[in-house]
Amino acid sequence: MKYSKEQLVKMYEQLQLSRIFEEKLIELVAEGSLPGFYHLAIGQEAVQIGAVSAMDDDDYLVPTHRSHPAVVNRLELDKFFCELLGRYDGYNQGKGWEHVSSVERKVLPASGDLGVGAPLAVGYAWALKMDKKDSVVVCLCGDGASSEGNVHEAMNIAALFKLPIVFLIENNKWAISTPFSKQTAVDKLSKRAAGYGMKGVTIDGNDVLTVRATMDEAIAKARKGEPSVVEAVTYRWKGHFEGDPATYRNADDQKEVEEAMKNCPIKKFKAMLLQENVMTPEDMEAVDKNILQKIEDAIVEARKSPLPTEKQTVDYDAVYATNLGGDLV
Amino acid sequence: MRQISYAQALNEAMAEEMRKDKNVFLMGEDVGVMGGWLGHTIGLYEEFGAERVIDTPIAESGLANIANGMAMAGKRPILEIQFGDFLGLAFDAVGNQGPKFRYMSGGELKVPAVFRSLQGGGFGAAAQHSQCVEAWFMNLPGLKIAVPTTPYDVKGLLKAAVRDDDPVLFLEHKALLGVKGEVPEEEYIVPLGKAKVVKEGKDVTIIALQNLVYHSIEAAKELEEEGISVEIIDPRTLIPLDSQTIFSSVKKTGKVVIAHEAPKRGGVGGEISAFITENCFESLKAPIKRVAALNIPIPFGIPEKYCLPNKDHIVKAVKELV
Repeated sequence: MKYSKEQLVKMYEQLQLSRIFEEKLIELVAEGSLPGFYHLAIGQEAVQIGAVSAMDDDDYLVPTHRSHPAVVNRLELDKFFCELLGRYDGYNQGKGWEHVSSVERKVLPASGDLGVGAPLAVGYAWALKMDKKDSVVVCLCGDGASSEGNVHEAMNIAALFKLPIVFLIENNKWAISTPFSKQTAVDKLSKRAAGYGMKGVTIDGNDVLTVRATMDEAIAKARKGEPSVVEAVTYRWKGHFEGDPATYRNADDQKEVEEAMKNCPIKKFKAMLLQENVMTPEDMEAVDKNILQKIEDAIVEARKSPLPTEKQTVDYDAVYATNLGGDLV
Repeated sequence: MRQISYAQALNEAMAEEMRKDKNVFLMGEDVGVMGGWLGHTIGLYEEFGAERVIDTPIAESGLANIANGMAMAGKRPILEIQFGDFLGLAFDAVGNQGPKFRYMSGGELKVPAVFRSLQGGGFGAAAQHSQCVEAWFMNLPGLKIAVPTTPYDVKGLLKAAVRDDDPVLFLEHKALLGVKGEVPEEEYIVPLGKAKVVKEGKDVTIIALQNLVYHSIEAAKELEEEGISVEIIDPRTLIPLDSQTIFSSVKKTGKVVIAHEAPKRGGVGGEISAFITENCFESLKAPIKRVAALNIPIPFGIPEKYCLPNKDHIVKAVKELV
């Protein structure tokens, strides 16, 4: 085994934090505690954990709207829940919500507009290169967003200027209601990398160790100024957002969902850990219990934090950093 | 005082800010080796090199978002979008991304990017190379907009924009690049949000943008001969807008003409007019007049003059008020 026991246990914890966290979001949405829409990555955790576990603390993450697994593992749980519950003690005073960002934790904001993350990430990576920093930017992107022009422009420029960035395309086969077969004529999104002069690979996104090993290599190369594209193939179990009944999926699609659920990345990883005697069922149970407790504690704490007041919301100094006179209103 | 052109003043502002702060740099299409498509960035590549005067591929949307990302990382990029018209391709990045991140991050992020672009007619370059586009961006919280008219202002405002911690859309008028004016050798800035009283007068207030300021000055001379005294105000920035300078003039004259080169419908003249009406209604002695382009795609060549506003339109509007 390429990875130490400690690293493997850490990946188990990260996967389970992702899953238990999103299951808790489902409960909170059902009870009406969370405004807005929640785009769940249940079943896709191996992609993001493979990436996050390969990143150094000094590397930057550019998430998407479906990046809870990556984001929850980079942020502190209490402050993240404050943010999702729209509380003032959140990372962004409750103004960021699913677009949460943290300079300290090196999480950049997920734009509300698809594909925009790619050029933002390229800009950030370019600045890091100018400052001769050793950090890399990992830019997440879905199969749907990969059709955006911004992604094309970003990839071309990243390759041209040899920027420290990895484009990780999480292909979950669905862009809201549009299946992958109706999004593009290429069978593998990684093929596009060749068009920009970058290396591109397509891997099994449901195997966390495959993703980890691929990202280890891609990040190391990016650090040397060789950006690349990694397409990790997975499957979106749920609707586009929690509450979407996904009526656009026909009987064949439903079979695909069932197959994907049988091929659960966490179940697979658990079986491997047990078989290789890395963890016992009791170890796992203890980890899971601990995560659930931490999540529940974080929610209790977050609920104690106040909602932003009208004054904190309608604050032009929060919109503009400098006001040298004149009307901004 | 020495006289230099608008283009030279623009060039000096960039050079001085780049010398002062290593985080400032210029990027865009043809800004480097070529020295800008109208020669306005000549010399910068030679002085600062390819890493700080960056020739880029043609990708307005991607580049403007790249500038946003660089700015969030602590840089102060100046991105040139060659023609104002091309800002449509970068609209989301300039208007919908950069300006939102400070608020959405609870103040943790800032985006000190400057999006420079050359706008306006005068070259007969047809409907997609001639427009004034400031109104496209007026409805977006978090953005600032500068519309410099003179060499002095383009230099001082650009230096202020580069130092500003918010994203600034900096719209130069390309017909003004060759216009000369007094620009001191010494360091100065023109703060964003301070209008200029170009000429004092007592009968009618003309609020004019860019090229229309020059047309207004010509109109004023003609009107003076007939005994009509106009006051000309150049807002210089639209966000922030120096309402106090505008209001005090309106309170003095009670009559207003607003002149800009963009089409009248949906133009900033409507916004300024509403702002005056909301705040100075008692002072108004007549309805506010707008002088602006027709709602026609700007035609190629000489016929553009049939669609764009000029001195005669301003004279006529003023006479209708007095």
